[in-house]
Amino acid sequence: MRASLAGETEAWGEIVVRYKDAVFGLCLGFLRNRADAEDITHDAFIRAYVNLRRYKLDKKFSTWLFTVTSNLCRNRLRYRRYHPVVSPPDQVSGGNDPAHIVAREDRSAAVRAAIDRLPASYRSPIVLRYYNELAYKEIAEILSLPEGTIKTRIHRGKMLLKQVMEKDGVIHYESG
Amino acid sequence: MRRIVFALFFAACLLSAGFSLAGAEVSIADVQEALTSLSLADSGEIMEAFTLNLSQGNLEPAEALHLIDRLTAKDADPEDTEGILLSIAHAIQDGLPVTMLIEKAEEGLARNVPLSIILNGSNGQPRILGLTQREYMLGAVRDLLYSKGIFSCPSGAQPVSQSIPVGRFNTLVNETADCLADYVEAGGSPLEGHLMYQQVNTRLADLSNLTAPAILPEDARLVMDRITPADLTTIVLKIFE
Amino acid sequence: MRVDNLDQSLSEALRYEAQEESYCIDRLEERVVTEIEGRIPNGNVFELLGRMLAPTRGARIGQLATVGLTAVLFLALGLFVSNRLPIPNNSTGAPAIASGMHGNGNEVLFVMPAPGAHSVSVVGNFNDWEATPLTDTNDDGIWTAHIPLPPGRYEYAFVVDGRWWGQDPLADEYVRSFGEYNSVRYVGQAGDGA
Repeated sequence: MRASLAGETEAWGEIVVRYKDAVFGLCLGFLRNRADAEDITHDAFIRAYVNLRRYKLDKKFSTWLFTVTSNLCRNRLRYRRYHPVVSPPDQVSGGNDPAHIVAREDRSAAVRAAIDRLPASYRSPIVLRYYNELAYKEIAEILSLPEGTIKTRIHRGKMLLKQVMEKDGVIHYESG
Repeated sequence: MRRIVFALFFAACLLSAGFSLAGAEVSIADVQEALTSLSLADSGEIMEAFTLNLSQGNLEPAEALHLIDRLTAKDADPEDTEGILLSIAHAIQDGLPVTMLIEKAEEGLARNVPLSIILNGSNGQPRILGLTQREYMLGAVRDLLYSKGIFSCPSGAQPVSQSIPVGRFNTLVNETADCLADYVEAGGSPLEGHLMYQQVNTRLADLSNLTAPAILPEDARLVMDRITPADLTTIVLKIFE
Repeated sequence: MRVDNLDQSLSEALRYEAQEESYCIDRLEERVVTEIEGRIPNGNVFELLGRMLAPTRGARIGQLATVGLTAVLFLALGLFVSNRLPIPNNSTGAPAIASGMHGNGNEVLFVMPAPGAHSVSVVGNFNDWEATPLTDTNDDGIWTAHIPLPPGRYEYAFVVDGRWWGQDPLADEYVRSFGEYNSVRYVGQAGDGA
C-alpha cells in the first residue's frame, strides 16, 4: 500500500489485478447490468487511485475500496432511475441457451431473476454478504448504516427472495 | 494575374485578422454599451458600480460582458435581470469581491434556472441560496474578519501587522463565504458550528496547498486561529430567518 | 443450526454470474493504468498537439493544411463580426487545440464514460459555464478532454446529450448547487503527480 501512496502506477496495476473480481462482482450484484458494472468497476479504481491520499492506513484497504465502489454504484442507480436504459438491458439473468440448461443452472437463473427484483437497499447488503463474504461490521461500514440495520435488511431481503421464488413455483425451500 | 488576386486575398485576410484581434479586446465601453442596451430602470447605479470595479481592475470587462450578454439573450423579466445586476452592483459598491456572485449567476443561467431563483434562492428541499443571500454572506464574512482584527491592505500600501493584501483578503472572503454557502445548500444545519469550522478549515487548507496558492498558509492559519464555530453559526443562522 | 439452502444458492448464483460476465474486466488493470498515466501532465505541449492532430505523418501534414486554411477563412469572417463578437477572456473555454497554446497551467484530464452519447461537454467556473467539448476519438464510449488550468479550485459538471451530470468519479469532492450536484477539483496541489 505504501508504494501506491508514493504514486507509482505499476503498483496500482497490481492492486487492480488483486481486487478487480471482488469489485466487479459487487458492481454486478448491485447494478444487475454488465455494462454499468464494467463502467463502475473501472471508475472505482480510477477514483480510488485519485483519492489515495485520503485513504487512512488504519482502515482495511478493501473496506475503503468497497466503500468507494458502493458509492459509485449508488450514484449510477440514481442516474439510471432518471435515465433508464433505452435498449433492452444487458440482462444478467436471462438468455440461457435452452439446450444447455441443467437443474443447477435453472436454480441459479431463478435466484438471479429474484435478485433482480429485490429493492436496492436489500440487495446491497446481500451481495456484500453472499458474494463478497464480508462480516456484518464491515458491511455496515461500507454502506454507512448501523450493524443492526444490516442484519435486518439481509434477513428481510432473504425472505423476499424466498417469497418471489416460491410464488414463481420454481423452487421450494425448506422454511427456516 | 492569378497570383495578384491571391496576394490581395491573403492581405485582406491578414488585415481582417488585425481588425478582429483588435476588436477582441473587450473594453469598459463595450460593457457600458451592453448595459445600456438592456434598458434597465436602475441603469445609472449599475453602470456606475460596474464601471468603478472595471476600472479598478476588480472585474474583467470580458467577464462582465459575458454575463450581461447571457442575461440579454435570456430575454427574461426585466425586473429579475435588473435584480441580478443590482445585487452584483451592491456588492461592488460595498467593496466586496464578486467572483462568487458572477460564477453562480453564470452557472444558474447555464442550467436554465429561473432568474428569480438565481436571485432569491429557494427554501425547498434541497435548499438553494440566491445571489441575495450570498451577497449577505460575503458581507458578514468580511465583517467577521474585521471584528477579529484582520484587515485588508490596499494594493501598493505597506501591510501592517494583521492586514493582508487586498487580493488575498478578497479571496479569503470569497472562499469562506462560498464554503458556507455550499454547506447550507448541502443541507447542513447552522447550529453545527464545529462542522462549518472544519469545512472552512479544509477549504482554506486545500487552497493554500496549491503550487500557486491564491491563499497563503499563514493567511489561512490567521483566520482559523481567530474565528470560532460560534461565529459561523451566528452568520449562517441569519440566512434561515 | 440448520443450514439454509438459500444461503448457498445465493452465493453460487452471484458467483456464477460474476464469472460469466468477468470477460469484460480482462486486462482492466492495463486500461486503468493507461488512463491514470494519461492524467500526468505532458512536458511538451507540441507533443500533445501532435498526438491530437494525427497519428501518422502524412495525415498530419494534410490536417495542418486544413486547419491553416480554416483559420484564414475564420479570420476573414472577423472583419464582419468583430464588433459584437463575445470574446471569452483568456479563458480555457476555447477549443482544446487552441487552449493547448496557453502557457503556465496543468493539463487536466476530464473523463466521462458515456457510451452511445452524441455529444459530451464540460461546463464549469473555468469557462464561464460554457460548454467545452469532450471527444471520443476511438469510439470506446470514453469521452475526454485535456484542459490546461492554472492552480486553483474548480467547480464543474458534464453535459451529456443536453443533460447535466454533476458527479465526476475523478472529482475531489461534490457540492450541491441549484439543487443538483457539481464536481470540484483542486488543480496544482503541491506534492502530487496529478
